[in-house]
Amino acid sequence: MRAEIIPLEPDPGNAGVGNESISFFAAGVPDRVHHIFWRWFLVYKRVVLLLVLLMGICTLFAKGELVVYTYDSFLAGPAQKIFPKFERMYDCTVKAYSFGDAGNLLARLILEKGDPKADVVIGLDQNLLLKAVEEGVLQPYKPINYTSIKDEGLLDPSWHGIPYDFGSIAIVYDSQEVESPPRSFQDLLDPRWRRSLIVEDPRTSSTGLAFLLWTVAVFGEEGFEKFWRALKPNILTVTPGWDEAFQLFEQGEAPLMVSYATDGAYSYHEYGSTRYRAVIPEEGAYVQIEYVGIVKGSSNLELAKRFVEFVLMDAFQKELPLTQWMYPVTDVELPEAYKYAAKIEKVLTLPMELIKSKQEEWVKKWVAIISE
Amino acid sequence: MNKSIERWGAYAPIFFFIVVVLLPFSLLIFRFINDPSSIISAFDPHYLRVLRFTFVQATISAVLAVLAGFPGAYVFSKTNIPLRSFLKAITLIPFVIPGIVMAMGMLNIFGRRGLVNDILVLFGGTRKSLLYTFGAIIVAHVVYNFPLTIRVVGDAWSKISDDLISAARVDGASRIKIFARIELPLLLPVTVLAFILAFMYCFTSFAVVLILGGVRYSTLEVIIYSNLKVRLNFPVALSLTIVQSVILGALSLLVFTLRKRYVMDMWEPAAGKEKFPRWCIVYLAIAVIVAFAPIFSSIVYGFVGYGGGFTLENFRRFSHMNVEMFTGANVATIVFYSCLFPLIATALALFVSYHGARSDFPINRFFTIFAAGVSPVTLSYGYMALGDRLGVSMNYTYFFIPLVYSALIFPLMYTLMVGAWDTFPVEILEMAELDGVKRWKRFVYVIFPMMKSEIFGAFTLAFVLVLGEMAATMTLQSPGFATFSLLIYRLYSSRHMLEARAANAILALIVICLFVLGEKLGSSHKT
Repeated sequence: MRAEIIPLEPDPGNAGVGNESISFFAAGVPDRVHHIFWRWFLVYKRVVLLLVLLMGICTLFAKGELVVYTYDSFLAGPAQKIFPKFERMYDCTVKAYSFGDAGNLLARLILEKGDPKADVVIGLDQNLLLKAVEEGVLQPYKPINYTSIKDEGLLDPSWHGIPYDFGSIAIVYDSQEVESPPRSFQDLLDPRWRRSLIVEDPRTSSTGLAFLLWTVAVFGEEGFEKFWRALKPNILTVTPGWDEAFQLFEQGEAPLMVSYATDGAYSYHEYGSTRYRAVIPEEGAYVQIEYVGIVKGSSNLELAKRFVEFVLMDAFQKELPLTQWMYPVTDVELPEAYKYAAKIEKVLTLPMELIKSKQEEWVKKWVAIISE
Repeated sequence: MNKSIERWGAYAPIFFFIVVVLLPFSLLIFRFINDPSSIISAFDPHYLRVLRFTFVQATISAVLAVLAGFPGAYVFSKTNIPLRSFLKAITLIPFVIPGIVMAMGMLNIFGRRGLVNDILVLFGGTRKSLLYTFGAIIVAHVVYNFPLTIRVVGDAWSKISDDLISAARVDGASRIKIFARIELPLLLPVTVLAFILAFMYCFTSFAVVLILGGVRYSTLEVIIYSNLKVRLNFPVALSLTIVQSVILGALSLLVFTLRKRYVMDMWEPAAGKEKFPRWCIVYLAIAVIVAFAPIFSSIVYGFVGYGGGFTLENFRRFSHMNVEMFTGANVATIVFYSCLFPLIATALALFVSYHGARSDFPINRFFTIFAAGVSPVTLSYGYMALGDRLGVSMNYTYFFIPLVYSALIFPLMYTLMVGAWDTFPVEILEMAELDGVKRWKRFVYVIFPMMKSEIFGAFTLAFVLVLGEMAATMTLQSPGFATFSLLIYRLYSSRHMLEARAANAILALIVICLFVLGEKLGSSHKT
């Protein structure tokens, strides 16, 4: 029911201004009473029409409303372009809320579990997705267009989360100080990198956690401890998050840091600089995947499902590379700047179940090694 | 009538604690701690090791911070130092800046491309890393906290009457003897307060320890944060928060019993009579350099381009960017909330502290410092749960933000106000009371003029502290709401580093202006 259909009705009230139009319709009515009646009727009719119009506008606002939870930088970035597209496509309103970072986002969902207010959540990575499933805040859904996802390895087998982008962590180096960056994890252990690497803490940073899991994926459950013991002299410091690590790195405290594969593309695109470059060790890349999911108890399930499908469409996917600096999951064309991104040639993963059961133990082992 | 207001006022901190801190916090506890095993899990040997380190570093840091602040307290209260109010204002700055900015400031002094290394190179040395050790943590914490000693002890020192000192002089006592025998005992209570504050902040330190401590060190706050934000293991996070809070509260009670209230001599402005001694120049130079480095580097960093080099590009980008796109709010809204919310919070905390600190019941003290152990993130989650329970629409959760702010600054405010009342000559007030002077008149004509510098000082300090607050602000935000700190966070998190640097530099300038203004208001036109 759209407001536009209203003008299609014959609308004498709108035909002219003032009494002229009234007298035109009232022609042939002899007595004065009739005339007054008509006058009142027509004035009244205007009011009725106005009410109908208002109701039409109200139904416009009362049309489907999708509540989306996400994190700050998604809302400030791609959401600006993407959400209006969805609103036009499905003639609905998208209400988006953000609560800082992705950790806060999931905390919010857990706190609202009894009375969920969101329909869709965007921005949980593998680890948060695990926690979300464990807490039972998501409901599974297999979108009809899931086949457009180019790599099956990105999929969540339980369909609670549907991947929409992914990135890889990498070793980023300052090309003004480093001529030959480390090509492998073994290279990183070389004494020439003594106190040269800045690492994020896996207890407080998702980047740090991904790096720890990467080493587990490369060296296995037995080998990763040995690797970290050997790496320890080469670590300058451990920071609480990526921001702090980058600031230290940029101030020249160390020539290497754990960061993202697209860093080179970003600095080329934003600042025209190719000073900081990313390298993925030859053992393979560890990808961080971001998921969209439907909130269990969503009051707008059909629209939520359409949204999940929309996420896999080109309209959504093509906005990601230059706003999120992550790779799209479908085959959309990558922008030119991405030739400065580190190439992902081999992907390493860890089974979700294994991460779920062992992650805490690995972090504890890491802490033990680090604080020895 | 007046008496009853004062009696109720003495309990204000308890009411405040129960409503503003305990209610949201206990909602989380009841929701997530269902069995005692989660409390027991807080006593994991791994956590106990971290706890021990946290305690040790906080104790060493706080003792050194108080010692480092003492000469400053003397200089600012007793000597005719030039530019007193300006210097006094800027030495307080390190205390209010976020840990991460503090760490960056330390880099500019001790880092590989920092001041000390530049001097080393000048004398033919080679660049080396002086940070990332246990010592670096301590130095940073001392720099962070010594200004507070200057403020708390200095304010009290300036109230010790000159008559007392002249009398001792006439009797032939040396300056050192006067200090040891007369001034130090009088200053002991406020010294203890300064220690508690420093200990509290070092105990809950986070970024400084991780960044500057190198590979090995972390504090209990790191583990709490990890369980709260990364692992979302609320039972462990909440149990550890309780442990942390009880330790802080109990310690302050213990120290409280050591503190005795001395009746100061009749109040008389005695500041600035003694000659500015020469050794102070060295002290001041070091103090100003280290104290000013963090904020100074924030400003300088505003002019550093991507990958280094001087530029105005950051400010150009910042002024051209679409603020509404990043925050969903326009500039006027941002300015409005950035002023209003800290103002409400500071006024509330000041009001409660002012009334409560006069009687300073031990129970108040325990709860006040207990509140310091509850992190802003925990408290915001508590308010989320409270909002959910009360059915507050998500569009209005930001109404809770001033309450979180006031809870955050409350421990600081309360302690500062205790210090202010400690050195207040209560006899004057009693005399005024006997003369039948009305309550509000007593405040306007007696209390306020005498406490002006403490009140304005505490107000500015707290205002600036919450102006830069991010954790609670971003957790409780709603659409259409934004503050300046939220804008900075959004810029950083969306990788707009240059714009974020410009915004940070602007914030640093605002902070300096506020301090100078606060100091002016606190010291000028004496009644």
